[in-house]
Amino acid sequence: MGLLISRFLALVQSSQPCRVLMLGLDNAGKTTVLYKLKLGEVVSTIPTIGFNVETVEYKNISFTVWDVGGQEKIRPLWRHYYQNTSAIIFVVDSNDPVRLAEAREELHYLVNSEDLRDCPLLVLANKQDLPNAVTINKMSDELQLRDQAKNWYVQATNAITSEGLYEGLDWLAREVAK
Amino acid sequence: MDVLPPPPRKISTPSSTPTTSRKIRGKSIKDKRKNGKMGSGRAIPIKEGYLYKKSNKTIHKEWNKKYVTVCDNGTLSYYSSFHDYMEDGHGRDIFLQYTTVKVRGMHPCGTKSGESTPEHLSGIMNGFNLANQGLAPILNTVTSNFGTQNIRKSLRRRKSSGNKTEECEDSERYDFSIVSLDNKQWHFEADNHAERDEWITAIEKQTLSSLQRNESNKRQDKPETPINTQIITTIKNQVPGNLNCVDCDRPNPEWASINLGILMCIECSGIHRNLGSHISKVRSLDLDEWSPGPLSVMMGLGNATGNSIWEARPSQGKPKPDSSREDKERWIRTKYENKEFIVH
Repeated sequence: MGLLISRFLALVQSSQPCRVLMLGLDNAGKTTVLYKLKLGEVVSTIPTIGFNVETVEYKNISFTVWDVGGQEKIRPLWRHYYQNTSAIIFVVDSNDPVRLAEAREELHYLVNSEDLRDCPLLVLANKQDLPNAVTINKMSDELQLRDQAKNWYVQATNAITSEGLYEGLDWLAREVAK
Repeated sequence: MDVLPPPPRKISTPSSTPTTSRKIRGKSIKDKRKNGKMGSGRAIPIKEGYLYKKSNKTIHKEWNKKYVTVCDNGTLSYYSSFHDYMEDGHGRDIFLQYTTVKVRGMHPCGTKSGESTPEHLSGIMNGFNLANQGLAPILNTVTSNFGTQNIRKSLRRRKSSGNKTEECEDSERYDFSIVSLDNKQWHFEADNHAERDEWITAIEKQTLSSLQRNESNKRQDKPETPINTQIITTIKNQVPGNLNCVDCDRPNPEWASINLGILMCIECSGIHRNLGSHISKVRSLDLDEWSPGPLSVMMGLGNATGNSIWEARPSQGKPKPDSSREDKERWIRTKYENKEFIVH
């Protein structure tokens, strides 16, 4: 009986679910971001081949975050994860300006796809602590976000120290709640 | 073939006794009747055996013994009994293409931690990690074997009693779950570590190969130029030093630093990525597209040349394939970040 009651309470109190797709080029820091949010610690990562998924509770929203590997040949598989997505987190390595054009190409492909049309887009300009990091202004320009009709936001982050991560989630939580 | 020829009367080698032949004949006729024709063939399991499966009922979770197969068509099937499997009936299928395996108490996948700190991340889920080299050590980091047959049996009894407590959850050491893209979950449990690891390896292999088969549907038609494939093979096999990881000596490295011109194993590639792309730009030989520029760097340098520069000074403490992640990271940072082994 106790079990039944606790299950009932869990149902009543459950937070709003939100399916988040976290994408970006290889070595952007997606897995590090995911586990920093989930565990609050920096895990030692190796390249993700396939995906990781974790649920992160924040501001009474239950974010189910799908972190999908970013190597070039597995990017075509991203589209299989599009359906029923409520929000996109796109992680960019700010310290690798040479690859911003490549990131832009992938990002534009994403935001123009029908399944993701209504999803808010949070761009994490990650690795801000590294020497060649570009600013979020430069990032917005390079990614040509200003021309996008989509609801987007660029947040400077350092996933190692978690700087900026929760500010980004704050924005996402507000957008999802709308 | 309709009917096997009658067993030759005088042959008495162990492999072809009349009894065996009768068995084969009986089975093939049964199959023929069932399938309507011969030779259609079922997928060959690459791994099969008994596992316990947690039922999906909402309240009373039970663990039931199932006969499970993983086939090379990317499907895991489970049957109530071996008999059901033989009859090809009553099976349930899980398509492994969009699934990931999670294991309680293991490092999240796509992540890895040193063998020296096996359990501080217990309770987290494990994405799938198809890193062939990376996988075995990760699996080994899981807690020590405590399960004898007896402990397992008592565990099973507790489970079947249907009122599992948190402590009981904690003591399930040989279980793993499969999570699909649409968030369905299946929980299985093996008899021991080795068994579980074998199942996980088999499942992850099938997930990877199903994903790769899917390549034909990719959105941009950028077929791999055969010339690139050839060059990559040359880089792997012909460029001096490239048969082993540049930093830990593990054989068959499949990851590259395109600015340093060297090859490394997936674990060391994770450490190189930590250095930042201003020091080392990591790509996969197999999972990234290669353009002529980086290919020529890889052809021109290689691990032997690379180490003649980066390890020019005699240096102590070079890690081995089974060294801890911490040792490897220390070495790689000293070598490329602090450039301590370069001759100035």
